[in-house]
Amino acid sequence: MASLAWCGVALSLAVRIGLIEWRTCEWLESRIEVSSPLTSWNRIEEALALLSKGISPYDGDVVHETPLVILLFRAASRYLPFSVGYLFLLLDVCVAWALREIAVVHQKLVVKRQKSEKAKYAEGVDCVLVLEDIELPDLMVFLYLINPFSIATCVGQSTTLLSTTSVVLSLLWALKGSVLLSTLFVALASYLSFYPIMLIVPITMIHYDVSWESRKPRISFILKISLSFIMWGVMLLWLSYTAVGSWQFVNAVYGFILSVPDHLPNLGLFWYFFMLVFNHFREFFLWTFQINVFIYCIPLALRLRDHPAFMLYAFCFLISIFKSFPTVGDVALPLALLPLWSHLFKYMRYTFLASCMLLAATIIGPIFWYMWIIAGNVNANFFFAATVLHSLGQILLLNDSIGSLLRRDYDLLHGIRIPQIDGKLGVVRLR
Amino acid sequence: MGIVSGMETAKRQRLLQALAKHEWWIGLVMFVFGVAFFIALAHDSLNARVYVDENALMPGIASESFRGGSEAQTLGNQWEQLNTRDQAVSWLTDRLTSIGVEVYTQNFTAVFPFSGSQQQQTVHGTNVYGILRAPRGASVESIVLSSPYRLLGDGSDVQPSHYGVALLLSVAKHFRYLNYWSKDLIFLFYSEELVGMQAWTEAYTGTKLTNIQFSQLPGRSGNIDSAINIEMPSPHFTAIDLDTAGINGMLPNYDVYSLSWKVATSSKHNVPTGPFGEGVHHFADPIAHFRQNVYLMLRTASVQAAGLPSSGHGLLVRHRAEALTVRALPDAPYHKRYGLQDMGNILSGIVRSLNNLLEHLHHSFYFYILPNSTHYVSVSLYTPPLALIILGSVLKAISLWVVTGLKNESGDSQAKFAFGEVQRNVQLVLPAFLCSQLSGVAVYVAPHIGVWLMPSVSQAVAALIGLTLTAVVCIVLVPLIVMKFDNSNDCHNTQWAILHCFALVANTITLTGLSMMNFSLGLLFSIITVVPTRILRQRPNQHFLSWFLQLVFIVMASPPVVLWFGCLVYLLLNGQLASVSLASQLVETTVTLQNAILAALRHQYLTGMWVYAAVTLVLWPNWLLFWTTLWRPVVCTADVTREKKEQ
Repeated sequence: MASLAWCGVALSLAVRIGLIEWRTCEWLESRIEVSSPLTSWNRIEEALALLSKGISPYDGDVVHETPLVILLFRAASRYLPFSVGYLFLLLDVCVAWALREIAVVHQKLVVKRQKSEKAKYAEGVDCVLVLEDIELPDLMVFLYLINPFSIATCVGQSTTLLSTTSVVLSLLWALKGSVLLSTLFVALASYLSFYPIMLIVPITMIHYDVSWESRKPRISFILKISLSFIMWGVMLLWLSYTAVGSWQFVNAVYGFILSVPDHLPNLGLFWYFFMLVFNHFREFFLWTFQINVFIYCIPLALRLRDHPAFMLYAFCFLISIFKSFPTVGDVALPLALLPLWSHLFKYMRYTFLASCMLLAATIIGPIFWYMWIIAGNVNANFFFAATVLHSLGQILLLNDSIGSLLRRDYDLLHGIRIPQIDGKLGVVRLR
Repeated sequence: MGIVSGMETAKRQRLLQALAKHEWWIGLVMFVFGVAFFIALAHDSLNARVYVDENALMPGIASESFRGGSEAQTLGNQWEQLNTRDQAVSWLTDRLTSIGVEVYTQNFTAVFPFSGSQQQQTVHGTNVYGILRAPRGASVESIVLSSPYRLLGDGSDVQPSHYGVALLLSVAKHFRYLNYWSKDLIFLFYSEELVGMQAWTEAYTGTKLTNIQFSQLPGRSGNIDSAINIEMPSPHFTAIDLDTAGINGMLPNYDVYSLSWKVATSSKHNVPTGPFGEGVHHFADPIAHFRQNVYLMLRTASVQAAGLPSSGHGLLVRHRAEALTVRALPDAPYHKRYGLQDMGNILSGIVRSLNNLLEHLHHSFYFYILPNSTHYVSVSLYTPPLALIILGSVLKAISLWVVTGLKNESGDSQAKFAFGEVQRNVQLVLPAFLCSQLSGVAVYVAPHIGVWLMPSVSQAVAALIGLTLTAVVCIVLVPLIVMKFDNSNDCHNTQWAILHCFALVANTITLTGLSMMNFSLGLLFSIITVVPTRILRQRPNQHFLSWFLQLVFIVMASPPVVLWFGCLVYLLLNGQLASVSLASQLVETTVTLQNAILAALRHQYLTGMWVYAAVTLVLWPNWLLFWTTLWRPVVCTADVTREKKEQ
């Protein structure tokens, strides 16, 4: 099995190299599913051209990429001996490696925790306990690399991949207990695409969870992590300021993310709504939509406080569903993390439905796009229907995995048999 | 949080099990009802009557003052004297120049791929076009009036169309002196049929879809709003065929059909007009009328499914020009004869209406099928039957998913746990999908590899040999490879049922997508594949006869066999089966299939038709998945040894 997984990994890497060599990038980077105005490679090239002419890239309304990324790619295009596509390939390999490490560390953590809590469990719960699976790390690498979404993101040179890498690395370092590195990568992810700022909550809790043997006072602990996070954030912003010499980028990047001035269609829900809404109500709904992204953090943080890594996964899904400019790369991240909780799969009931919905949206979406934009015989509603299907599939998968986690927790404490009331099967309700 | 909690597991499972149990007849009823529903839509009471949705068109109101019938006749006679293409081009240029419009020419060269010889076959041609600038507006929009020009007696078997050319010239002369044009009129005479039209459209719209080499256009006008293509083989006609079918099954806005129909059938002209020039009469006998409707509906649908337009209008549709061909039929069985004068007036009536438009045609439908000249079946009517037909596959997929999650086949109705007791093994799905997709790509490129490897035979033969061999290799290899991934010794495993389930899902989704773009093609393959893929049974130790029956059904649903039967039906309907003996009839059908495949291959490079790609990259891999599930280990070795032990 493991050798087969590695064959698959080799195949997926070969596909990436083939696609990079055949210059499919030019086609993929123009797909709205792969690159948003924030992450599009075309716009980075524009920024590089502007920079070479001595013009600030943020003077116009084209570039919405952070300054450090632009500088990174300027350096890459100058000094790298190979094409930039291979830099993205390296990033993908880095993500895959990090996922492998995460799987190893996380499994150990879960098993250790399970051992310590075993006394509390009901009898006969053996069949839902986590067993250490030596194949899981390889499988995670395989599942991430073979995912068409991550292949498209890598080959299409969408900078979503940078933010994905940061999130994955921050989870890895958090699990390994390194405060400085994990907060650096959360700060970097938030710096790149803003929404990951909410991931600092699960990262803090993971740190707290990992160091549970030597419990420190909670307040000083939280203070330490927040200070470290703020320090990194300020440092990144200040570095950007010194790099481009003005604060224009704050409005061009974060202002753009939050106020959504560009209604270019994408996989999200913003563009269609704000295309239709009267300008009079625009501000109100903008606040509603943006608060909507963050509002779920509070209940989820309360309910999932015992499973901070799972919380991070849930937040990644939320970001991918509700952010203003989502791409397929954003979905690839939570999908890659999902196998960490493979012990929940037997509880999950909508995997089939959700995967069918995602598959259908992936196939129907480009067809509707073609018919709307190129052939011109259908309208925007059709493409929006496909994006709604895409979001619904994700919501279903997220809901299902949260439900399974909670139900398994309940079963561990109360026994796996469904309680009988008056000879009839009872119903367990989440309250 | 109904989804998360609410785990009324027993209730839900009972429902799903009931579905799994009764799915076969529910699906069958839905299929039969869906097909019957679709056929019934041909009845006039179930579909909508033709009407013009765009009020600005005001069809038939303008006075038509075309008086150039006899002049067109003279021009047509002059054309008959022309022998070479150069003569034709200079004659056309002279005529257009003397009328007083801007005249331009465009040269193009196309290499016919997969030609009948070892060398590449090259085609040269020249398009001639004239632009009449609008006296009442800027040159931002235009209407194209086109006609193919064909030299007489150059040995080709296509119908002559020089009266179309002649009529267009005299119409141009008439239009030249009218002052109400608010859009530029482009008079286009294209040579070499679709290739010439494709070269001109690509140059005009600045796109590059094919391998045709063409010179740039020296003069151009604005965006093409609408286009009328005209074909007239003789100066007289008895009926008009309004041909809407465009490339890859795209259709122009229905308003352009209804407008043309309304002008031609108005009391001024009263010409029998409809798709193929048929469906004009309302039979007194309701059954005969319905039968005619069904026949005509299936005929328009089959033309759409083939995806290859019969004339130049079909290539303009791709560029959002609402285009159709007005084809004069000299031999249609109607008593009254019409002449060039009438056609000229009809044409000026249509163009005058299109000239009235203030915005792009968008009110009416882009998706419709025509059951007769006065009615249409719109997308909202024909989608429910398609959904009913396809839903059978979905039901089967759900039931397979449910059944594979049960512990035993009898199915414990009382669930004891909140989790599924059986872990579904999805290990076969990924390798099977990868293999089938790769074989789709292999079949797609096979003709090129055949030509490359076999330079000593003609390209067409090499392509067909390459295609056939690759397909056969795929048919053998894919099940063998997938079998290697079956890792359990127990043949009661559910891996194959799950593969079947995902194959059904893939088939459903791709057919839905296909029917969005080309409804008729999607419907055709839905009707053909839904039943055979549903009767596949994923059970070990089946009787050989039952397995063989499944094999026959699946083979019948394979794309090559379907296409072969399609060719047979086509030949039978058109009465083109010349030979009497059965064996030579079969050979004749096979030859037709070969020609159809070659035509699809060539037009992929000449006109950007994607039917070949759709069949090889989508339908063929889908079918291979079902074919693979047929070859699951049938006899349980484990069972046999157990039985021996018991004895």
